[in-house]
Amino acid sequence: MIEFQSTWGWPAALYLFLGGLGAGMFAAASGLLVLGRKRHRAAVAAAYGLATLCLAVGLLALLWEVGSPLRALVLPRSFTNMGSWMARGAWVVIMALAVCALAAALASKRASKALARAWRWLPGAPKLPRKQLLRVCAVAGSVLAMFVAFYTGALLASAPGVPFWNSWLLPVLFTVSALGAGANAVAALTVITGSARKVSRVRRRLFAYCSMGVAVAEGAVLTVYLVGMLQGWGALDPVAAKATAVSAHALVAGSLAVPFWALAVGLGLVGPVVTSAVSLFVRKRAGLALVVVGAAGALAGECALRFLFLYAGASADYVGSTLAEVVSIASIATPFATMF
Amino acid sequence: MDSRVCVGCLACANACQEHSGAPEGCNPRRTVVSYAFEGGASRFVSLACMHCAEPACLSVCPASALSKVEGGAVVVDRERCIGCRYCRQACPFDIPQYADGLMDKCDLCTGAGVPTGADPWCVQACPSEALGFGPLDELRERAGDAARQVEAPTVPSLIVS
Repeated sequence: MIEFQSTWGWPAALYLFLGGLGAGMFAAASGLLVLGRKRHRAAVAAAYGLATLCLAVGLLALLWEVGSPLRALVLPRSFTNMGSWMARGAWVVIMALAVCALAAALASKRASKALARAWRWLPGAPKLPRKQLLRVCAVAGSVLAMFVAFYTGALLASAPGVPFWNSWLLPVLFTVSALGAGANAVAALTVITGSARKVSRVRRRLFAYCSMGVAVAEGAVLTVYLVGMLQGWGALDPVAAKATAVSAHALVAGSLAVPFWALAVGLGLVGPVVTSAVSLFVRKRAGLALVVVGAAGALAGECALRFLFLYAGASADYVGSTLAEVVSIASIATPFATMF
Repeated sequence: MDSRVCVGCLACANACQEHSGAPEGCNPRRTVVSYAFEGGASRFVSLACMHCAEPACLSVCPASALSKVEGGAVVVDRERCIGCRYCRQACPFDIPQYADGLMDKCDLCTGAGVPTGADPWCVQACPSEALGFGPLDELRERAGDAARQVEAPTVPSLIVS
């Protein structure tokens, strides 16, 4: 029987998803801001608002998972080891959350006016340069967001207890998948807020190609990742290679294969490619509806990917392999351990 | 750890539970694992923290709650631990466990009245002398040629024979 890691449960997986989605949405919305600040104002404001919500809910999920949440909240005492990806991530996520929230306020018409009014209460304060400040937030926030997306993978990659995660391709995969989820979510928001209807045909075509491109890139990284793990490429030793193969096999053809192929691959990757491609050939309104459907699937797929990757972590049996050597039946040994 | 003479009596785990000072509601810090090999051979191995030379728990802990103290023991400061369980995720042997949301692990009984360098309670309790404690080169010499040090990325200090 295969034993998967049970140290971190669903709140951690949810955090990995929401952290990535929030980061991806922020970056994608910032791109949209550059393309058309006025036209897509509502979509950008909604995306920044939702990105803030994602990060906030993700952090709550994380606190839920932690044994002593109150202690964890005292950041300067609890996150002191800067060699740890968890400490690095905690600081950057908090910074990203703050910048995200400010950007969300500045991007929304009403909130930014309220902000400017409140600003005037400060004695001697110059007029709040809202437009410039939003631009600074968009750039700084995108940099922080990319770090957040990368760190959700690095957090797992730096835990040597689970060889399946110990590849620097994992943060790359999670970054690409976060960008994919973010781009899809933002595309759906432009449809929902109505600004997508005003976009030229050429530009809509460009968006569709972008969505397909991200999905194809993610598919490529995922393929290399899983093939590598099945083959044990890059594993530190043969014992770890055995564990990576166990995890990868569970996803591709084992007990997790159904959700992996149906949700992570089907809805998350194939779905958006198909809907984007079809949306180019149908009437405008149907095409836009398809974008929303594809985006919903993409989000569900990305969520499933994080849950599955977290759940599929199996540990390497170093003691068993050493014992097999000692007992010198290494060639036939597949030790089966029972814990008392 | 000499698996040839271990009979799986659990005296080590019981001694650990009784004397080590592990908090209430915690499993003992030492467990006995039974390995059954194809072809019928089977062995018991008594396992606890191996106080690795390069402890992953220590390097991933965000709160700097873990340290390697004089004598080589990797110990946790429960006043600093936030219970994130990253150490357990990083440990190749799933050693860290949690009581009241905070991490608990073997400290070689230094918190239970055993002086640094002396045999911890589990070793004292082992009736068949399967468990040994001391500097690695001494243990290696005692265990003989057939023994192997467990090889893992964290360089654990456990010799199995």
